[in-house]
Amino acid sequence: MIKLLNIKKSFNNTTVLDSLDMVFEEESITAILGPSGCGKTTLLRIIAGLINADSGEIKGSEHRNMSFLFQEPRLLPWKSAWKNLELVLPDNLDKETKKKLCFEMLDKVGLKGYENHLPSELSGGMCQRLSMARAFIIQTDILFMDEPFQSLDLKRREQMINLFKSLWLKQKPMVIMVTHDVQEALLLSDKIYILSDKPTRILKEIMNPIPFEKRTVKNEHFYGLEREIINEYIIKEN
Amino acid sequence: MKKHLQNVFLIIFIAAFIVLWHILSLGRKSLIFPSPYEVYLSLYSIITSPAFMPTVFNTVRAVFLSFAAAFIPALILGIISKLFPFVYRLMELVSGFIRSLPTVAIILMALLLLPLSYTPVIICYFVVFPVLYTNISEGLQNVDEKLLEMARIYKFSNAKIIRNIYIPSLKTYIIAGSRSALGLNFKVMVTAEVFNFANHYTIGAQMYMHKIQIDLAGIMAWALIVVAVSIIFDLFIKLIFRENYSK
Repeated sequence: MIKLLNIKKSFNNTTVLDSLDMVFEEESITAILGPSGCGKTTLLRIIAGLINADSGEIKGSEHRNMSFLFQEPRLLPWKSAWKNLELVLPDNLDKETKKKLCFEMLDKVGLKGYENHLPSELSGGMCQRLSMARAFIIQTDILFMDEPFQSLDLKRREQMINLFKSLWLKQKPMVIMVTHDVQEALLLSDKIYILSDKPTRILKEIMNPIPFEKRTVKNEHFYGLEREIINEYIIKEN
Repeated sequence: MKKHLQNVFLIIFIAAFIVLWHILSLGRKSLIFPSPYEVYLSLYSIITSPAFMPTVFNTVRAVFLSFAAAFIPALILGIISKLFPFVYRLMELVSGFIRSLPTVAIILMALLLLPLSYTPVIICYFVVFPVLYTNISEGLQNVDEKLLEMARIYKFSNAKIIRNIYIPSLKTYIIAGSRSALGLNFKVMVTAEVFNFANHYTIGAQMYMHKIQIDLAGIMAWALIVVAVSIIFDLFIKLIFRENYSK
C-alpha cells in the first residue's frame, strides 16, 4: 500500500497541489481524475520519485519495481522493438532467455513479426503497444500511467484498454493512473480520486461499483455513473 | 536512378570545369596560369617521386595526432560541462575566445613561443579543439531528458545509460564535429607547415618550395592532393561511424 500524507507542491509561488492525502491499495487500479493543467502529472511524478514534493510524506513506495506508461512511448529510436524490451530486463538473465521473453511479450501485444523493426518503422499505435509491453515484461510492483491512451483514436484506445486489462490480470500490479477522461477512469479503475482545478485538492473519492470484468461501456450502470461524476463534481466545481 | 543521375551531373560538371580552365589558360604562361595538363604533369611527377609517400604520411600523421590530442580533452570537458553548469558557461567563453582568434595569430604566436617541430600539431590543436568541444558539449546538452527519465524509472545502471542513451545520442554530433574538424585540420596543418622549416617532408613545406620556385602548377597539384586526402578521410569517418542501429 502507498500512502500520501499532506503532499504540497508549488511552482513560482503558485500552489499546484494543496495538502493531498491519498491511499493506493495493492493489486488495485486507482485513477486520479482532474481537469487539464491541475497538476495530475506533477502528482504522478512525485509519487514515482521523479521530482520532490515541497512538503508531505509518501509511505510504501521505497525499493519497489516500477513501470511507467508515459503519454508518449519514450522508446530508444536506435534500438529495435525487442531490444527496447530487453533493456529493462534484469542483467542477470542470459541473452537467450531475454530474447525469448521479449519475443513472447511482443507476441502478446500483437507485434509478432515486428521484433526487429525500429520504432520509426512502427505506427504510433504499435509504439504504444511496445511501450506497454515494456511496462509488463518485468515483474512490476507499481505501474504509473500518465494518460497513455490519450493520443489514440477511439478504436485503438479500446484495443489498448483491452490489452492493458489482459496484461494487468496476469500480474496485478498496483496501478496509479492520471486522466481527464471520465470514461477511461470508469473503464479501468477500482477507485477514482476526483481533483479540483488549481490549487488542486480532492473533491471526492469514489469506489467503482462495476466489477473489473464487467467494466465496459455496455454495462447498464456505466453511462449513469459517468453522468453523475460529470454533473456532480466536474460541472458543479467549474 | 536518382543517384546515378547525380553522378552523371557531377562528371559533366568536372569535365566542363576542366575545359573552361583549359580555355582560360590558352595563350597564358604557366607561371601565371598553368593549364590542366601542366598541373597533371606536375601532379604525376610529385606522386611518382620517392618523397611523396613520406611527405603525405608526415602531414596525415600530424593531422591525426592533433585531432586525437584535441578529441580526448574535448570529450572529457564535454562530460564535465554536462555535469557542472558553471564549467559549461566557462568553456563557452574559452572555446568562443579560441574560435574567434585569427588562425594566423595562433600560427605566429606558436612559431615564436614553441619548439619548431611541434608547432603545426599545437596550432591545429587550438583550431580543432573548439569545433570538437562545441559539438560534443551540444550533443550532451541535447540528450533527450525524457529518455533519461524512462531510464531512471526502469532503474538502468549508469553504464547502461551511457551505452544505450548517451553514446547513441552523441554519435551524430561526434560525426559532424569530426568531419568538420578533420577538414579544417588539413587546411590549417598545411598552412602551419608552410611556416615550419623543421621538416621539409610535409605537404606545406613542399608547397613552400614550389612557391620559392614560382611553380604555380606544383602548388595546384599539391592542393589537389590535399583535397583528395581530405575526401578519403571524410569517407573513412563516414564508414566507421555509419548508421549501425541495433536490430
